[in-house]
Amino acid sequence: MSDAKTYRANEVVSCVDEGEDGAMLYNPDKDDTILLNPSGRAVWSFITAPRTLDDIAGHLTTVYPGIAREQAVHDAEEFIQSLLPDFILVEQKTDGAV
Amino acid sequence: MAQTYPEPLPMPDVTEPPPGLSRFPKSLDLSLTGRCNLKCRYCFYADEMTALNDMPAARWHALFEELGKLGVQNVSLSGGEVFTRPDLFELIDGIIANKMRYGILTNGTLITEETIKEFAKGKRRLRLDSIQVSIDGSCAEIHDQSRPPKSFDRALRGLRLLKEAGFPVAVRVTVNRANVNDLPNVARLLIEDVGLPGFSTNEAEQMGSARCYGENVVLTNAERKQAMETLTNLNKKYNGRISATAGPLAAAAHFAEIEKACAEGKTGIPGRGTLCSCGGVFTKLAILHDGTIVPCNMLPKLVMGVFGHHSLAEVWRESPAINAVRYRRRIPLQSLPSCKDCSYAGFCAGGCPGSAMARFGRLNVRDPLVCYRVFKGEEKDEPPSAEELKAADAGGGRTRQQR
Repeated sequence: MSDAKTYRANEVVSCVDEGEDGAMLYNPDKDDTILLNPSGRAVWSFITAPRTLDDIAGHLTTVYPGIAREQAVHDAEEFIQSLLPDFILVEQKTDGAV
Repeated sequence: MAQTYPEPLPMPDVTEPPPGLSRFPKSLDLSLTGRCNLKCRYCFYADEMTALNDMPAARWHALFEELGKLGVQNVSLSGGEVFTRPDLFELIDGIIANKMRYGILTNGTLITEETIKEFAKGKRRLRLDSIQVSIDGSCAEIHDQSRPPKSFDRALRGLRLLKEAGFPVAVRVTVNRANVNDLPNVARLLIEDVGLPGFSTNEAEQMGSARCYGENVVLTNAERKQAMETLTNLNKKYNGRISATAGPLAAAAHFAEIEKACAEGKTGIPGRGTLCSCGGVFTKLAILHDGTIVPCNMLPKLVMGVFGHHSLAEVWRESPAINAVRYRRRIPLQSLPSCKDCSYAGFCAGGCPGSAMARFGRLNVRDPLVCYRVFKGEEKDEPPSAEELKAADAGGGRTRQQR
């Protein structure tokens, strides 16, 4: 059993692709909207299943091969923190406990 | 002798959406049913209620699924009377399951303790933006002049139940000939007695069932002036707690703005001077209870398509019907024969296209109800001239193929 946190997209949130502009997230429970840039959209698609911070950073380095690992971890942390207060992402333990 | 025609109004290709239009609307107005337990004398939807059949629940659920996929954020539910649908709460659950919020417009008469309990289930309360009840008088003697007997008592009971249960309740007062002298009492009832934070107003217009009862329902020019003054004074008394996007209070604010701009020596107001109207067609569209897609439920004859047969995403951007309404903004008021010599043309917005269409059967004409010259008595509230109708016909609805 691991105690690493995992993150996933809140399933009540809708995501509308805005083409080159990225995507728009809408949480109808909070009536709250957030715009994602294209890299944010790439992360959002990835976290439809629970992912650790390492998983997300790894995904970013795959999608954007030029990015350094440290930068990817920083960006992933920043992305998660910016969305957590609006309840767009929920946090779980890897054993399934919320 | 050769016949002469007026200069056509400047209208772009209506099969192309205006630049910057969103991929899909944020909101939709849905008329869930054509049934109603009342028969009000100024129901704008009365013609459609008798002519069309309700979509079954399965089609509504299919619509909600499509709206959810397109990213629509909220829907406004009206009718008819939505609470006549026995499956209303199942439909609401379908809206919730597809990641949307909702609001309700109701006559309030069918709201009971049981209704309040139903709303408590699941996320029905959480996702409810507002529930608007129609109240048109301070007592049964006034309210029920336009509605069947006992409507007032039932509507007020529903309103109080919602208020006491802490719902986001709103009230719309439709100003008409029966209540124009009762407005101070209505304000006192709603704000002081019921304890609402405020209420909104509009006015009965010459459409739907008001076509039959028009002279007993629709305000005369003198009564409209009286309503403007009364509502403006009440709004001062109640610190701005009365609102309006149409009707006498909105017109009063609009005319006061014109007077102020003229006094300051301005020649126009930014964003005005064309048939710009409310702009709702840039952010939402409407679906009637049989699935007909229209730009607005005030424009029920301007058919864009039918749900299930036409792609909502496509008609939103490409339907000539809705683009013709959007492109009214490109038509300068001074290009209209009735406005061409008007010194106030740079200050006006031309009024509601739904009102113009209902009264005159044309989209590209101004609505005299919001004409400053008519308000000042410098001009009569008359239908457009034959010249104006020809100009309106010549300007609308051209497509790439026709040009």
